[in-house]
Amino acid sequence: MAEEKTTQEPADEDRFAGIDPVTGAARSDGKEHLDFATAVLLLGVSIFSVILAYGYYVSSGKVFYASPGLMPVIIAGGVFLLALSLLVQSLKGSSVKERAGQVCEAIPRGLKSKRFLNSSAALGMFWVYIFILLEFLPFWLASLSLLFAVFAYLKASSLIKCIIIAGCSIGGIVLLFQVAFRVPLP
Amino acid sequence: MSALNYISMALDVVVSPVGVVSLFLSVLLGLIFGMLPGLTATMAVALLTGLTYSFDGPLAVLILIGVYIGAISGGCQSAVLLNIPGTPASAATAVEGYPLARQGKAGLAIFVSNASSFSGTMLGIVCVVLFTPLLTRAALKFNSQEMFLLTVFGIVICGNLTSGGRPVKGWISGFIGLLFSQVGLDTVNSMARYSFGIINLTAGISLLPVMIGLFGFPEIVDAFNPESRTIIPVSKFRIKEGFAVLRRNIVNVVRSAILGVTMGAIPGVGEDTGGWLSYWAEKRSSKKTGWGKGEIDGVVSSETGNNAAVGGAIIPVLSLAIPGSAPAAVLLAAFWMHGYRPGPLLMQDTPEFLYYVVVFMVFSAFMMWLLASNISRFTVKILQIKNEILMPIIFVCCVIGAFVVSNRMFDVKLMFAFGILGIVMRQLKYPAAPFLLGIILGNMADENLRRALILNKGSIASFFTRPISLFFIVFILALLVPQFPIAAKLVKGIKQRRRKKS
Repeated sequence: MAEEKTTQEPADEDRFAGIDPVTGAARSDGKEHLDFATAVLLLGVSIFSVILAYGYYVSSGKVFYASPGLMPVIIAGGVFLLALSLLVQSLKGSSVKERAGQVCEAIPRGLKSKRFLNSSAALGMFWVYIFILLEFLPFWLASLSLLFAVFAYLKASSLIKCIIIAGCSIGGIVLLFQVAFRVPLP
Repeated sequence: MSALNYISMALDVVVSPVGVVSLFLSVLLGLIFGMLPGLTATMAVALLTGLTYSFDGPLAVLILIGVYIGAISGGCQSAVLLNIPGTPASAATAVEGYPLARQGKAGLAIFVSNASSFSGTMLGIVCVVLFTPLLTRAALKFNSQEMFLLTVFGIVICGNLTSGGRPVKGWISGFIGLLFSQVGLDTVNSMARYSFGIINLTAGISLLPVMIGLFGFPEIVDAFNPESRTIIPVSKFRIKEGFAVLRRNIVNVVRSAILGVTMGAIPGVGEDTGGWLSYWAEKRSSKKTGWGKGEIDGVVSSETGNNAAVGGAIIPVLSLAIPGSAPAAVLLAAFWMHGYRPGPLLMQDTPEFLYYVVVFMVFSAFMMWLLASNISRFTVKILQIKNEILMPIIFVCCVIGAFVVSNRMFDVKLMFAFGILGIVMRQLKYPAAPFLLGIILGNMADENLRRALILNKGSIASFFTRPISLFFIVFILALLVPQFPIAAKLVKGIKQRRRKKS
């Protein structure tokens, strides 16, 4: 029902429940269990931030309004309130137990999904490039290795073409950044 | 000497062979800097400040203004084509521009962005000439209270705009950005916050690694998923179509330019907020429903707004020697280096300087439009490259962009960390733009709030007794309160009671 309503005139009863008053878009996206998990995490983060911020206030020895703890407390307080609001929204028509169960079910399902595995492969390659290759190899060699490995993994083209494209790209990048603009490279 | 003499002196500089070549190269360099993720307008102006050290004053000013205008305009191309804003000022353009590119309308989107950038710059120049004294007076009314509330207002509207119907998520994103901006030494007492003993974190979190990580990383990682590896067809468009969009948006352009100039004129606010506020104003006034899915009017408003802010940012530089934005601050330093002393005594000491700036801005704007329109014929071809080839190359550029901020690998690692956060946020449908704005505005909010409270001995009364401040409070509350369930129930109850009575 909510999706059918028009943008210009959301019904009064839906104005604050399922329809955004500005855009008129539907709020429910079928991922309430994820919102629930995020809200719980954010509540924890905000409480932790407030505790740390209080520590800054105490150790600065200044009045609260002039202390370095003031702004973090306000921001973390804001996050707490917003997370609470998200939590309440995510629990509409459900219970904490039900949502927790849905989160527990969603985690193994998500970990097995193709999208997650593909993204993990990308992150793994980029991690190796940033934390290992760039630390020990010159920039051009590390980048050439990365590009070739990624092109080959994604089967972007034949191996020879992959080498040529990777070489030309790195050559172009070095020429543009290091030679033309004199930008220091990693 | 009369104004006409000064204008003719400025024209002599621009139309000389050296002037034309310098203008061409500086605007082109600015466009390239703006286009490449990680290279900013500030960096471009700073780089050319050093290179123009030995040049004649007027020629150096021409080059610096050219590169500034080029860089702010160039950011729209990568925002539209790759969803990676070339400069933070183009983040609002990506919201509508990238979906347009996905629909095959990249050419139209870039043409309209360039034309809007041109219009914004030109209207900004008109404002420089007409309203410098007036806007300077208005900008000076913004004290610490207003500056603090302006940052909150920025986060709230940005969260509202980009959340796709769930403002709470947008605001959470903005507030988390604000929280991250608190990392490092605080600006008043230099006390380390949230740095957990990591020395690199005491310097704070740099903006560029965050921007590249949040916006670029998810796009790059997406290339590893077969379903996203589609080549987007770029449909041809007629220039007529682009001009028709602009004709339809005349009110939008004028409004966005006024907002952009005003935001630019407020010291410390700058082009980013100019773009966002203009986009917000257009979205609020428009009856269209396709926002966030490729609404061309949004591209017009954000590009006009951020480029008009260039003119706005120059107003306080000229009249008060206070920069309105980061690139304007570097520009001010460059003016000083070349012997010009902007400020209240400008018209007395170097009266020709104001005319130089205005004439150079006009020519730079024309050159920018000419070059950007021609470059875009080639840049749209980027979309024809297979994602699995393009995105890894973009990733290497992003690594360089993150590295060059402070020449340290820590920023590259930071980009990686924020990239993972960006992917998670995208999956959970949290917009990245408010997060970025939070990082940009966080320290400004902290500094101004504490200054306001210290000056008033801890009293918050001054926030409610100043008219502009009160206006912001009412506006922020009107946006925030209805989203909280208790307030929503209260409003519902009141309405039901009214209905029963009637």
